[in-house]
Amino acid sequence: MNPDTVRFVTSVRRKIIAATLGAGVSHIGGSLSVVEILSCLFNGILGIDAANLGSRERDQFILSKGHGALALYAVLTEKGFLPEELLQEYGRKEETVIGIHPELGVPGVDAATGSLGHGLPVGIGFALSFQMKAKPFHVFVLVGDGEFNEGSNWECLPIAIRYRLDNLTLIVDRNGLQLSGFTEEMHPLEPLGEKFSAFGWDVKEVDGHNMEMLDRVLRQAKSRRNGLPLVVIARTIKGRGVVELENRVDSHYCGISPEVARKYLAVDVPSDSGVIP
Amino acid sequence: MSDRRTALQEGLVRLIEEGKEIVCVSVDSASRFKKVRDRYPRRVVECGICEQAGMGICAGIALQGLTPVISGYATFLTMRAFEQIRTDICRWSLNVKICSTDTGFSAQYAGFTHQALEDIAILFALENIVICEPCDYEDTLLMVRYLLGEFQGPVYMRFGARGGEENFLEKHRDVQMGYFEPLSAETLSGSLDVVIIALGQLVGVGMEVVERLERRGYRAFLYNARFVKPLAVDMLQEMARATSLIVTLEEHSRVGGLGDALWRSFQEFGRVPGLLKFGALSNFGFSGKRAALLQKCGLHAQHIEDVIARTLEGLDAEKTAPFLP
Repeated sequence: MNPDTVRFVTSVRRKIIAATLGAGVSHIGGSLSVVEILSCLFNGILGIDAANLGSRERDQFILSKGHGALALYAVLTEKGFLPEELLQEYGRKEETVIGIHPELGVPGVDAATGSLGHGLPVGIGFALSFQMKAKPFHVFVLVGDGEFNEGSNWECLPIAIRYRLDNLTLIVDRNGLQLSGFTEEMHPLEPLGEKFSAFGWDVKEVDGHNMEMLDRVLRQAKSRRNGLPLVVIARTIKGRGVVELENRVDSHYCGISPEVARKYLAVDVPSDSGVIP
Repeated sequence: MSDRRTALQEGLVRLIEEGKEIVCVSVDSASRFKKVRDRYPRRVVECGICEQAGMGICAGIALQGLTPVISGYATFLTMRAFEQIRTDICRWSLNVKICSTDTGFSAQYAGFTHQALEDIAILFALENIVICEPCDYEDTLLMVRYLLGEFQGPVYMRFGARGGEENFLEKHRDVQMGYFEPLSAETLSGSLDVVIIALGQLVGVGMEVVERLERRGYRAFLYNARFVKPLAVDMLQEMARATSLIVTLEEHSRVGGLGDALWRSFQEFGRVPGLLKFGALSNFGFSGKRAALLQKCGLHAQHIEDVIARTLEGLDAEKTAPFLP
């Protein structure tokens, strides 16, 4: 990874850890698992900048797993789209627009989410609108793997095929965990890629923490003109970067002790991987 | 054919002709958009039997600045997709138009699974949504033009079955947000014995009741409700001054519908006239012919006339009236 990327990703992770420490609790596990995915999207994939932040005339991004909003806020702050002071409000101020789930009105948030299974239908609405208006923009929807328990997602798969939505890319944060347990023990999803294939979708599987691979796949995703929607199944680790939280059921919604936080926040030099040593 | 669902299709075609960026969303309910599909096939999106996805797609289309119009069975749209209506649409006042069909008993033999008798109650708690029902073909054309073509914001408009509907007026008055349409010639002033507000096709029953009451020497005033939410406060205040008895007729449960909406409004401004609510006995309907089911619920002129007359005569109304506050 190039040093700028490493610095960006490391700084995003630190923001998530610091905000969790400040708030006392957050959806830290699922926020840490999507750091690379979001960092990649907001650094060169989505055609988004300070000037078009509030516009619909650009690529759109929906964080369907709305409980991962802390990661989105951290990325938006790192990009300079959200003021640092706003991020400080997370879980602290008596009332704030920076809630656990992203709402419209927060710069850089294209759709309000939080209730699982709502993002993909809205994303299809976006993609259909771009198709009807012959706009060249792309729609990315990021869902949690546990979120794919929700039937509304499965309702969408044939619709995207019928309307040949190659301007739509669905990214699955495949960290293997949902609120109360491992996905395969709770509500089995595998073979997930084959299921999407059977629905007629293009499928790519990637290491969701490998920025180069993510960048390549998401860049290709945008240039597709084959009439097929694409799903990118990103293999990730819940709690990635905080060893104490990695791949644990209880890292879904939890706090972080000052000792553990200090360990990660005190380090100045990022490692190569973007995971804080 | 000159029923309300035909008027919806014709109204949509006209709005598209005029350049409105309307997108019709079907949930295996394409018959509701046949005329649109024939003329503008690209304006109809088919989602299959997927109310949740369909409603979420409407939210996405509206966020991108187009005007989605979704139509399908009222029961499934309001119950299966309630959360999408609440969370994705009403929270953000998105310009989504929900044109539900088969409300009241109009699904007839399809029975309680398909008869929507609680759809108004379900949606009433939501801020920002307009809840309304035109009474006939011409009224629908006007309401579609205003609420789907001009007004910006979520709208829930009720429709009935595919055909067999009555038409009451060749020309209706202009639509004004939150105002009932007066159908009586006289003005709402002085002392009226009773004001009757009928929703949708029950306007026909209301007309018959007024005729019967007038033959008995009562002064009765009739409104085509059009709106259940919002309701114009000045109109309600004027009504409360003009009469001491208000009667609502609706093809909906007596819980949470037009009658309750009025009752709540009157309470809010502290002047509560007598209120008789006529509606379905329960939110669960029955299999049968619409006319028979209306009869079973007392939604017919003879019964309504009797209850009103007895109430006005100060007889033991509580025993006979479906509801007295």
